[in-house]
Amino acid sequence: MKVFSAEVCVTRDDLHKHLKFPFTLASDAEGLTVRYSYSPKKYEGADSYALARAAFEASYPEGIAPSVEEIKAELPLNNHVALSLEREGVLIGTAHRHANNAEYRVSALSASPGFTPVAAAKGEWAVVLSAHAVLDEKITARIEVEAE
Amino acid sequence: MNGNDKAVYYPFELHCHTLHSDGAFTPRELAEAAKARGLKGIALTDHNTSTGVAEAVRVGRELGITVIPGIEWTTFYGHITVLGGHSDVDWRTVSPATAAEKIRRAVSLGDVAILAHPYRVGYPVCTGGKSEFPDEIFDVLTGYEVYSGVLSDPTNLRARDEYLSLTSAGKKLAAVYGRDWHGQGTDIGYGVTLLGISGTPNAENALEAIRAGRTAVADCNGNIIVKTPFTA
Repeated sequence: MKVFSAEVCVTRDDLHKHLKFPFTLASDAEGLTVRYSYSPKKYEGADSYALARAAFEASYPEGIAPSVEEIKAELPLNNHVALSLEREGVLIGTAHRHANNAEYRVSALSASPGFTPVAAAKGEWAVVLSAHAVLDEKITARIEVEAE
Repeated sequence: MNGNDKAVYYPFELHCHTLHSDGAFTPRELAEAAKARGLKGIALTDHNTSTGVAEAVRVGRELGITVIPGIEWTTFYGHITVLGGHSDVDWRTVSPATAAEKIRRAVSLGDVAILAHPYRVGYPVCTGGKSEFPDEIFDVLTGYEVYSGVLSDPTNLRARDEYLSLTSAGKKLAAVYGRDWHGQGTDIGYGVTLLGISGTPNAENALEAIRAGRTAVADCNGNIIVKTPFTA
């Protein structure tokens, strides 16, 4: 049974923020499945090379310039919005991965990598999106939580 | 080394990832790769989760590889590896304003905290890759990744210079290497951390070696590149 669904717009103003999307589980369940996707993943902006070069130059020591090849090896740049799950305000886990389309499951007996097994008990839950990298003006994220 | 005659120095890799975050290894594959590489132990430091630790510890026992429980606080402003598995800090609460307090909390609970790749190429190539934490963290951290990834990476020169400057100024920071190991690949160009362990080379004694400054960064042949200039 679907217990939460949202289409979320993550903008550059959300960069380096944790965006919380609470939902209530009305009754105990066997487990929760979270389906999560966002796009775009790759940033294709014309300033990509300049942004990457600036990052290299901020880290390289004086007198050593990054090569064009080194900078180009980091292109295209990526948007990155990681998903965490909370129950009653307590972190259950984080999926710090670079794929932009994933499914995670938690139950009392097992959980997807990154998450701690926990009973899908009735109460207050939240999906939290952590905006590690937002290069496009707008990223569209889709969240769907199903209780079984 | 460092005048501690009882310590035996073992090679460790203190910065590793599995598929519990963005690594390609399963915990078993990581432990097997560590054994194949001749390491005595590893710290499992997945990004913002420690859910792979139980399996890694179990496999480590089977293979004779010491596994130190850990996590990498992968924040927007810098990355910190926290080793020991005692901390209750939620990584999302770590910011430039709170970093020192959160590190102090983790250390007070029995963990060691190490600033990871302080000068890695940062945002937007690697968010938080370059530390933006304030200098006050150097009063509470246990260690500093003087070298990260490929030893010849130019950003390591800045980290090395900062480490030497900090320790010259009296900061008690153990010298640590972090491969930031995410999966199989060539072993050429990487290093190890040598830990001077007194007694059985288990996780707690490995942590004690870091706290005591019985550490050195070495290349893969064991040649020391930089060692901690103090002992506790």
